[in-house]
Amino acid sequence: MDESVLFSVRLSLQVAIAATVWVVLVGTGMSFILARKSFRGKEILDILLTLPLVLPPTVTGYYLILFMGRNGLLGNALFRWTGWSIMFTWYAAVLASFIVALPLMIKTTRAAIESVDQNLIKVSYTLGHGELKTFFKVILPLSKKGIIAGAVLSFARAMGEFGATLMVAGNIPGKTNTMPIAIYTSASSGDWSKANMMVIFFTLVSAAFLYIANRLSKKGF
Amino acid sequence: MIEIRVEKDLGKFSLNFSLNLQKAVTVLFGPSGSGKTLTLNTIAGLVEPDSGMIRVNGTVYFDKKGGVNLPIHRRRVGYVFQEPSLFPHMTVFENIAYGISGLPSMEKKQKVNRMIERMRLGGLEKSLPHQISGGQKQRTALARALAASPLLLLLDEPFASLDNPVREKLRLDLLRIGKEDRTPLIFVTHDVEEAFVLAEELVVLNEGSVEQTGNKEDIFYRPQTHKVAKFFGVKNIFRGKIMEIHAEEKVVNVWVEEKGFQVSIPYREGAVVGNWVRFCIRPEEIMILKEERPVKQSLNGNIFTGEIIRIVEKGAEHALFFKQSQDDYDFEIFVPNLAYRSLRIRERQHVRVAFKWESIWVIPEGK
Repeated sequence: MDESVLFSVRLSLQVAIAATVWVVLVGTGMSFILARKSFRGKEILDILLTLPLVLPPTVTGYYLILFMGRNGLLGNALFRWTGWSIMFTWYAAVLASFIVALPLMIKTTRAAIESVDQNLIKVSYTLGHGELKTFFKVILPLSKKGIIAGAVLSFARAMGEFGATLMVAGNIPGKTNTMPIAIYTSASSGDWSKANMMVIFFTLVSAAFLYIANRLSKKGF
Repeated sequence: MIEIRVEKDLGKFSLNFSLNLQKAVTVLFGPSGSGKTLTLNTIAGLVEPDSGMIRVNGTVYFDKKGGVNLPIHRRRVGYVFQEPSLFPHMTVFENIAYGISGLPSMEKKQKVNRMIERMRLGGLEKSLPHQISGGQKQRTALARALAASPLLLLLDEPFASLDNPVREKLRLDLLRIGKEDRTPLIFVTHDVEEAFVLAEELVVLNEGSVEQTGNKEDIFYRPQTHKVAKFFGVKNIFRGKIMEIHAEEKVVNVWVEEKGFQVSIPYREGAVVGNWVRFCIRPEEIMILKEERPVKQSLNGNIFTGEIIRIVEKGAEHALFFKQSQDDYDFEIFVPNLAYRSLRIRERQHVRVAFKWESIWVIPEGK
């Protein structure tokens, strides 16, 4: 396989894995809070976290530039403190994938947590276990299916991220050109054999993931 | 032992009562919607009262004024619901072990095994909840609650969804274990029989407040309110006007206007001619007199002649509806099947019925 194709495949997997780890950690925590707590501004938080699901990825990317760019709210502070900017690094690709995949994780996981029988949670409390222990011993095992399905979907979504990634990480060959971006470049420059290879690879991997997600949501594992 | 004083306003419904429970087994009895479950939830800490105080064996669970509200997991209250609510991802053994804390693993294992033996769950240790029967599930739930060594065990109609033979066995299990462990328990039910089998102390709730507390004989034979009499199947409840008082014989003659008969009832302090009284008689306390027998003096004139207008079979007994004068029936009478067969009564038959005035209970006025 072409050296540059191999790089893109590896980068895409690396970005997707890193993004998925964060998505699972943050998404599960957020889902628990949204499913079981009531507080002011809960609905606004829910909307903010879901927005990337419906916004065009370029809009999400634009917001990321506003926040994380060298002159952005957070990015500027980070740059002045460390002299480093996340823009146009593979970390930016991870961030973009994370933001875009997070709502998928939260939707599935929240539904799974909400469907855990309330009485089981009450029983756990009366048996002397506090909220944290109840979360790890009862809620988490019983919503495992939803969490894993959410993680698989998030991984697939993160691998396929294009728009927001292009805006914050750019298209730097050998540095930030993930598979979707490399496919776009190859197709627009007429390099069909390269594009074909990556498209077939991508389709197979995505189909495999959907198959896994389906099986998990049907019969567990 | 258990002191509860709570107020909780839920708009359409409000809970407001105080109780001081001293016995090991308390039954909370009442119709649906009377606040039984809400009461248990306030004790367990699942619902916070608007005001009041809850103290169990010296431990303050809740005290509005003192600003105490112990979190649920620190109250050490065992709670068993109508649904067994076993953790579906854990085996019977793991479910029972779940609430045991602070023991080395060997002792923990022994404790669980002892509980499995006591609750007749041997052989099911490795089964998952969906593999065992309803009765076994509920026994596991009981074992799980008891294994955590609770200060107090709350049971919310735990046997309501089981069939009768299983339910009867489980009641006996519960009584045995409760005695062995000396764990005080509060049992919620709306089943009269269940209340009687289990209760050492009975609390009758209605619409969020306590109608009566006491031992079961008190509540069965000496209801303090019209509602309690009704809940416990007294059936024959009347209101009448005092016509004559025979203080030395401790008898009062009362005229029941709505039914059109006169009856002798026990004298109570404060009875005044012309006052209204409410009194009742249990359906199994009314006798049907055989034609040939002479009437005993002790019946004190409470003998009525009339007609049996309807007979209803009720399993172990028959309910006879007796009419003396007007359109509707006057008395409902329960006759055990054996006696019923020897009486050979048919509908439309004329009979004489009687009851002793001691069998009559006068419901205190003003309630």
